[in-house]
Order: sequence, then C-alpha cells, then structure tokens
Amino acid sequence: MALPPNTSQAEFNRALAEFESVVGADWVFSSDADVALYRDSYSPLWGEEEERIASAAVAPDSVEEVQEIVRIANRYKIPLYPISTGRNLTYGGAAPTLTGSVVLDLKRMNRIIEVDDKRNYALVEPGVSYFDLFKYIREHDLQVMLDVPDPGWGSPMGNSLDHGVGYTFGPYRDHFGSHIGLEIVSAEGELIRTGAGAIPGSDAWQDFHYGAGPSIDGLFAQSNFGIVTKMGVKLMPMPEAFKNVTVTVPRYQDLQSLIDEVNYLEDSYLIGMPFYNSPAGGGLFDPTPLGELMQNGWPNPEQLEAFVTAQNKPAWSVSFHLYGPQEIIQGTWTAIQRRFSDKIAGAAFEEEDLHNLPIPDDDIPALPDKAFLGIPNLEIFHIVNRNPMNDNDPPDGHADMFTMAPRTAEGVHTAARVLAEAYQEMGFPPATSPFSTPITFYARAFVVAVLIPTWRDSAKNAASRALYERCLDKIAEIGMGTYRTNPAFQELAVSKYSFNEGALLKYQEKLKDAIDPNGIISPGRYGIWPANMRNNRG
Amino acid sequence: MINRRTTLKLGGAGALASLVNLPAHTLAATNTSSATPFHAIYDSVYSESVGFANTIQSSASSIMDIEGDLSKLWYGQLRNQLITSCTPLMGLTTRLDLFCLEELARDVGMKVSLRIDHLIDQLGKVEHQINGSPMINSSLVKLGHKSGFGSKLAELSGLFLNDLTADLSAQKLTGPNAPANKTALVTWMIS
Amino acid sequence: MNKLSILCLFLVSSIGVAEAQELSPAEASGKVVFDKWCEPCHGRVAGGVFGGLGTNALPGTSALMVKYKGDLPPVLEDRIDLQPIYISTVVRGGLYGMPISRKTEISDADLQNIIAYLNRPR
Repeated sequence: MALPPNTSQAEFNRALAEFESVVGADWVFSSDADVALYRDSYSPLWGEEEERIASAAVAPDSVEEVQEIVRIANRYKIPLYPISTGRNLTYGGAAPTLTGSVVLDLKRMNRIIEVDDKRNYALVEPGVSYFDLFKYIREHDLQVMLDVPDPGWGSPMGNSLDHGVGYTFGPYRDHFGSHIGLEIVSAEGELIRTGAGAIPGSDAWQDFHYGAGPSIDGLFAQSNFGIVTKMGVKLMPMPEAFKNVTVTVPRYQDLQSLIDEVNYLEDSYLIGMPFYNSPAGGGLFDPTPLGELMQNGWPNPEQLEAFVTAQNKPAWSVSFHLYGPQEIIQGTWTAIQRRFSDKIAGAAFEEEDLHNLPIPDDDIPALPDKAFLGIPNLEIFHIVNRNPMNDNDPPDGHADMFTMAPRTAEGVHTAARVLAEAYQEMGFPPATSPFSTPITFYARAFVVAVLIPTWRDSAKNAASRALYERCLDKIAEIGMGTYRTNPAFQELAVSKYSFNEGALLKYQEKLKDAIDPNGIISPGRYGIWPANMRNNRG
Repeated sequence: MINRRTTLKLGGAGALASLVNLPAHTLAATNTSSATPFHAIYDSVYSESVGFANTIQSSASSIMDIEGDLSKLWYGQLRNQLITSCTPLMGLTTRLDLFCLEELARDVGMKVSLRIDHLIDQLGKVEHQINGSPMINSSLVKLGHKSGFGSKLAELSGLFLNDLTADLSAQKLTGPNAPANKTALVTWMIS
Repeated sequence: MNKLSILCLFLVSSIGVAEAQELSPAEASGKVVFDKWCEPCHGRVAGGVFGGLGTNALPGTSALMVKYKGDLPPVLEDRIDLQPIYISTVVRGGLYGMPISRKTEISDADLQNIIAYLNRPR
C-alpha cells in the first residue's frame, strides 16, 4: 500500500483516525481492497510502478467536513486529490496525480441545491451526475435543457472543472465557460464564494458572474488551487422544437468555404453543434479503405479531387441541430440554404423532420442523437467496447488525444497529416487521413481526435504511451497543443505551452506557492507542483 | 525386441484400457503421439485436484494453481498467453471457478469443450456427469465412484486433447452451484 | 371494449403486477440500483446512436452479444447463472471498457442487492 510522501505509517494512521473522527469510520477507505477501487480503470500505466495509486480515500458529506479534512491534511502535510463523481475516464478517473495522495471523494455531496427555469440555471454540489440532474429536471417538469458530455454519468461540476465539453448550442458546449458562480474551500480550509455570491445575502449568485475586481474562477479548472464545493451552471431554456439539417459540398477544396460559412453561423449563434463528416472519405464509423490513395505518402490536391470524383459522393458534409420555435427554425434554415447556395457551387441540402421538445420519456431510448438534445447516456462506450472488428483483443480502455487546431481547413489537414506521421513512426497504422474531420466541441476551435488504446498489459501500454507522447511532440512542432490529458501525460502536455521560456507555468507556480503553501491540493495536476516537490517533480 | 520401456508402455496402456473401453493400442498411440500443448489448472484446496495436477504436470506445458484468486491468475499471465495463442486449458476445479474461467475464456474467443462434473457426497461417494463427445462419454463410464478420479482423468489428457472437436454444447449445462450437502468439482477443457 | 378484451387486459395487467410483487425487498432494491447504474449499458432497450452492430443494442449488451455469439443471453437480466463472485469481481475490478465502481457509488449493500436481483428466482 502506498503512503503519502514523507509520511510514516504511524503518522498516517493518526491522520486516518482524525479523518474518521470527521466523516465516520465508514467513509474512510484504507484497506488494500478499498483503495484499489480508486485506481484509474483506463490507466496507461496499469500495474506498473509508475501507476498513480492512492494511499487512502475519504468521503465527506458536507462543506464543513471538507474544511476540517483540509485542515487535518495541512497539519500532516498529506496531499489530497479531490474528485467529484470520479468518472473522468481517459483523463485519470478517480486516481490521483501523485502516488500516495488521499483521494477526497466528493460523491456523497450530491445535492441539487436549486434549478430555476425562469433565470435558467442550476446550483449543484460535486457528486451530482448529469443523470441525476436530468432526472430532477424531468421529475419537476422544469423547462431547461442540459448540455451533456459523453458519457453522461459524470458530474456537471467535475466535467466543467476539467474543461469538459458537450453537444448542444455553442456557449453551452464549453462547460466551464457556462458555469456561473463558485464556492471553494481553499487550500487552507477557508470558504470563498465568487461573483455575486461574495455579497452576503445576494440572490444574484447565479445571475452575475464577475463580481467586482479580478475573477479568480479560472484558477480552479484543470488545476490544484482549491476544492470547489458548489457551482452554478447556466442552462439553455428548453427549446420549443429542433430540426436536424445537413449541408454537403462536392469538392475536396470546398472545405475552407464550408468552414467559413459554418463559422459565421456558429459565431452568430444561429446553429447548434456543427458535426463534420466526409461521405467520400467513408464517413466516421465506416471508413472506406483509402487504398492506393495513401500508398505514396500524403496525396496532393489533384489526387484528392480525383479520388472524390471517383467516389461519386460529396467530399464534405456538416450536420447541425437548429433549436427554437418552429418559425425561427424554418426561417433560419431558409437563410442557411440561401447563403450556402450563393457561396459554394454544388452545395446540397438534406433535412429531417421538425420535432417538438421536450422528448417524451418513451421516445428517448430510440433517439440516435441523445447528447445533442441534452439527454445523458452511455452510448459512447460503443466506440471502445468489444465489437466484431476488435473481438479478438478489445482494449481495456483508451487515452484520448485531442489536438486543438485553428478553425481552418489547413489546420485540420495539417493536424491529421502530422498525427498520421506520428502513428507511422511508432509502427501503428494511421488513425487520421486527408479526410479526417474536425470535432467542434469548442465553438471557436477544432479538435482533431485520436483514441489511443490502453491495456492491463505493460508491454502494450508502453507502446501506447510512446505513441501518445510522439503525437504530443509532433503537434507541438506545428504550434498545436492538447486541451486535456491523463496525468501520465500532463507534464509533457503543459510543457508545450512554453512561450517566453515557460512564463505561464512559472506564473502558475508562484500562485501555487502563495495559495497552497503546504502543497496539499493535487500536487502535480497539469504540471503544477508545490515548491517542496518542484525539483524532484514528485 | 521388447525392452523394459516398451513393456512398461504397453503395460500402462493396458491398465488404462481397463479404465476405458478402448483397445489398448489406440490409447498407446494417443499417449505417444506428439502432444498438443496445453496449460493445466488446478486448485490446491481439493485433494482430487492435487492428484490431477501431480499426474498431469509431466505432459502439460505449464501448470497453475488458482490459489483462491482466479482473477489474479487470469490477469497475471493467462489471458495474455491465450490472446497470443489459443492454447487449450485443462483443469479440475470447483464449478464456480469453471464458471468464472468460462466467462473469461469467452473474452478471448475460447469455450468449454469438455465437462465432467463430479458430485461428492458426505460419505465420499462420487457421481460423475459427463458432457463431451460421444466417444469420451462412452469411454468414461467406468470412472468409478471413489476417490482418485482426479489422477485417472489426468492420465486421459491425451484422449481429451485429441478430441478437441468435441460437441461444444458441453459448456454451461449443470450450472455453477453445488447441490446441498455435496461438493461439486468439475474436470474441464477450454479450447 | 368487449368482455373478452377486458378479461385479457385484466390478466395481462395482473401478470405484470404479480411479477413486480414477486421481488423480495433485497431484489427490489437491487433493481433500483441496477436501473440507475447498470441499465444504461446493460439494459435490453433498443435504440440509440452508433447502431451497436446494427441492432441498436446498448453498449454492454452489444459487447456481450459479440462475446457470447448466441450461446448465452446478452442481457444481464436474462441470465440465470451469474455467480455472486463474478458479478462483484467485475463491478469492483472493471472489465475491458467497463470501469471500476466505488463504494460511494455502489455500496456493498447495493452490490449485494444487485446480486440478489440478478439471481432472483424465475
């Protein structure tokens, strides 16, 4: 069993006893079997010495208990690693960044404090899941729509604090960007509220975000500056209806024109999440083998156009939901078709029926686009589960490697090409191609995604880790980085944000030293180490 | 010329032949043919399983003791070996361990191809329930109802391995639970 | 509605009620936990995204369809032989894409009730 750094068993036993006096013995987990439940199921270091293993876990039920635990941790200088629902798969799950940390499991703090469907917000504790919040909204017949990530059993707070993303209307897809108001337990155990919540007696905590003076909210996402215990979430009013539409363009070279127009519509808040695809390139889930096209390196534009012509399918498509009253949907769709027709020769259009919202309960299971309608589900697991193609050796998990590219065709193509090179250099068949399409999780950036398998096998994981690291290295060479990653890769990932000799990280370290002098909150998370661990990097 | 070794070989085959209703020369041929590699699994808690292990260890590629933690054995070494090459497994374990092994084996595309249940009552009397190919079924009629069946079955491993095309409906028939007041062990092949 | 159809309706509804009443308290609690934590992947409903082999099965059910290839029911609630040790090993240890479940999510009592539900007499 792991011990916290620089802590003897005797000291640790005393600390555990103090934790028990706060939360009760039932909620302190220190046996080998119980601590094993805090392993990262998808760890790229499973079973190896470098796997991040907790020393114990403590599960408080209230803010006061969290404060007391933090004070105890400070006295013993024992690192804590707060988790909300602990389902952050591919990004570390419930396991800490530093071996020996005590996981602060906030799942029991699962109260939905308020949902208001006139001012359109929710106020939640860490342990609330998207499923919980969806059920609450339905049971109370509240006219608000969630924006959920895939999968949906995580926490609105936890997902937001890891910069997680969703699928509906632009501003709401950025989950941290659509939070409003935080309550935080500081590294020294003090309670802080931000925004209007910092005014005693305020009723505007989930209305007015900034407060007066500098906003500190951003410090608490993907970081280790404090423990968030309440979060406001901006919610979209439930639209009256939705309609899914698709635009296709014929030529390979049309991608930039397509992107230009989609950007206009997205940034004007006229459309839901653009979902790009390539019919000629085979689509997302049924990739046509590109065969001879890729045999002599990356094809040139003429070859790509010839390939598209031979496929007799549009080179690119984009689908999105239109939300709102049907008059607005119909009018928007008419305008969208006019604009595309004016700009791109050969643009074609498809549309599905208008559907009223909310979706009746009985109709939900059959929906193919649950996430786009704010309905939490676990169907994303199809992507990595056993299927006929991987039946002989399904992966034990995956580490997502998302390249953040500029919102241009060149950005997508360059990222796809560089990732393909990384794969080939590491002996893997490429997972990207000239027909790779961006994902628009963030409304103003492009994600080029690859999923790298993880295993409960050290040899296979070593190859996966090497591939992941090569991808990070190569995209940095073209000025791109990732937005979120597993603790195994966090130091490497943040090291690429190195402008002016790493000025950003140095600044964050100064903040860390001031805010958390004993270095007890999640040491090493996203590369930020407390001063007493900085040189050794834990 | 008949040397001592030949005599022993024929003698051994003859002894086995009395156990199974097969001509002795068939068994001898089976035992001396180049052996199909297989892994053997046993559970040292049970004497029959230990007897099985002691006899089979000379012919098995490897022999593994469950030691009360099947998942450790499976995830420790066995699964990766089987993903690489679907080497048959043969074992004498509890029904519960077979249930778990069967589930785990299906993860790598293997199935139970032979199953012989042994229900041992409190007086030590053994009832055998056999599910395998017709040849195996008929050949094991004379297994007896006393202790010592574990090592006898181990001696027949060659027969079982050469019958890998057995009826696959052998899997999952009598369930993992033991009847009241009886110990349920099972000899099995997964391939 | 004629008398025959009223009778059929009554029989059907009473069968449904009878089945629900057959669950013991532990089994009923187990079903609640199962519906919350397990059903979204292991349920029997059809529909959803990605098609799941074209049958629109949920991810866990779909994976088990591939694994069992018709030999065993892919819907967990249809199994009659799931052993407690196997259920608890998979829930607490994870298996392939299915992650570990902690005690703050599924307590030991919850797990025993799920086991009771999946082993309910039928």
